[in-house]
Amino acid sequence: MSEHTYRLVIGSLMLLMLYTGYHFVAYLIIAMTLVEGLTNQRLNLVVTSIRRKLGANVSGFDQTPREDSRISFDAERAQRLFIAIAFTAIFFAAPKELWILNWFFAFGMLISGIVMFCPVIALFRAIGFR
Amino acid sequence: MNNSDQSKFEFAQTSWRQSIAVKITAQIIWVIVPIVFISSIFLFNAIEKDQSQIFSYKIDALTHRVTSIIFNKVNITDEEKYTIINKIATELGFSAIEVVAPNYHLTTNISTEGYVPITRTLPITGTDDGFDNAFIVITSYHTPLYQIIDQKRKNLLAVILLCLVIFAVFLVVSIRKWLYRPLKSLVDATEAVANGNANVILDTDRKDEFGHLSTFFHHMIANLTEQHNKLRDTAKVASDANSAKSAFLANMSHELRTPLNAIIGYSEMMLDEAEEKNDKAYIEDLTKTIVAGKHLLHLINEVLDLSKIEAGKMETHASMIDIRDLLKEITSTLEPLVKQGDNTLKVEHDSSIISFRSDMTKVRQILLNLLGNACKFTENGVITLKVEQQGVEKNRNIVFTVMDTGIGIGQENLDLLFNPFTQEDNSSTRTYSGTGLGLSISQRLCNLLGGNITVRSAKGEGSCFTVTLPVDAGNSSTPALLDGSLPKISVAS
Repeated sequence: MSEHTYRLVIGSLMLLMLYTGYHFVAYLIIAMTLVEGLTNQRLNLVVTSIRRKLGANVSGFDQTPREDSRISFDAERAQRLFIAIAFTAIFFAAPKELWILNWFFAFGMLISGIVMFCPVIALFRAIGFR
Repeated sequence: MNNSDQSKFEFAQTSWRQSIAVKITAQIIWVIVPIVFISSIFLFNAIEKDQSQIFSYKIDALTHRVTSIIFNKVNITDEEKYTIINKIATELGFSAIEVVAPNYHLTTNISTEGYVPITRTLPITGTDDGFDNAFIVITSYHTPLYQIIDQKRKNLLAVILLCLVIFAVFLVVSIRKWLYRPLKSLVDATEAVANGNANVILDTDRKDEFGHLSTFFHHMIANLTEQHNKLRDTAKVASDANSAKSAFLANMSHELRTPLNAIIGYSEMMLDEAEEKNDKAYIEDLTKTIVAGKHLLHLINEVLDLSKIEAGKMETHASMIDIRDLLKEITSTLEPLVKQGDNTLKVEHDSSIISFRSDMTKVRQILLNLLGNACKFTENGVITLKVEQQGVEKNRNIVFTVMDTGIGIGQENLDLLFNPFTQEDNSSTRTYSGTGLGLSISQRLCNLLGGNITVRSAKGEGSCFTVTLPVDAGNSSTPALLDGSLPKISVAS
């Protein structure tokens, strides 16, 4: 599972949840991204690792870490934490006023999966994350 | 998937992700998405306002119509009133209605669960029933307003986002098809040509810029291939001609040397006899013959050396060279030449170096050549030969510097100095003897021994030639270094 596929899936799930109003799914996704961000055991890496153990050819999905990063912290990991914190803050702090931001983040994940470019990760990389 | 397919897949994935096409797509999409969301906020605010107004209007309409029916002059039964009110409520989207008025109470039988009650109280005026100053209370049950608005904006946003996704997919597919693929074909073709494969086929049927680019690319490759073939043929002809020339010169030099050696040998024998008989007339003539013969032999040897080097037949034989022996031999050989120009030869030798590994004959030839030139172009001056060591460990070099205080070389002629058959100018060729092969041979011999030769000079200020040779040309043994001192050799003439 590539990072782009991961964003595509998570973004679609979040949008579906926002449309149908099944907040339980949203809490699950938030919890998952938070765990991913805290432990760096990212879903796409875990899935790729499992597939590789099962004998699937997944070498094309490996990501090359940047050598010239100033901060020794993966940009993808930082993105997970950002998403988890942003969703949690909006859900519990101002769900009625900032409802559209949740849609924006969810759609952003979906669209970054389609176009293969995530501005949040690009921003983190520009700051100096790995 | 085999290894080849896998590497192609990886390349395709990587190249697409890092391609300019993705950057263009991402830039377009990530400009549009925030604009759409910001516009949506204004749209949703307008929708919320509209829905509130519509909601208020519906409640007012219901209240008015229910009041009219209840206080209608026309005699209709309560059952008929109930049916009409129920119908109006359903039409306006209300789930239940409760009407409370003096002597009248009506409740529709529809469930009120999940709906919010909205109550309107109206004063009763202008009736003949004595109900003045009384009130009619109408409670209607309806879906909460925020739920209506929420559902409406969700539906609208879903449609907008769906359109955006379709647009993004369309953009990705289009840019991939119209920009990325032809660009990648050109990159692949360029890479193939860079790797020496000129058999590339590009799509020249397209009428856009890529089609033109592909056509011109094909023309360029055809021209390059033609020029390459021409150059190869020309180089082969030149190489063959040079080999033939070198072979001819080598053969001719050899054929010339044999009779010349015989002439010199017999002349020397005749000179010995003439000296025994003290025949001065013959001695002078024979001496001239021997000197001219030796000079000719030297020239032929130089031509032969150059031919051998150019033909790649010059071989080196590395051996340990004792610096002191080398310097003594050179100084004694050069002594007559130094005296001839009233010059002084100084030898400065770094006493820590006693030997190095190289081809003795060729090193001697290089140094004799340079010092011979220095003697030739210097009068009443000083010629210095300096020997020192440079570098450390495996990169150690031995450096011979030949300096003179002679006529020097103009800056414009320095670049041509090492070309064969070249001296500084024609006049100098006439004034000073020589073929102009010495420096060319010295440079090539230096290269052959793994070193190089450089020159610094200015007109009228003398010249400085520096020969740098590796300390261990054969890499087979490390030269020993002398701890003791070796006296500097200074030859004054």
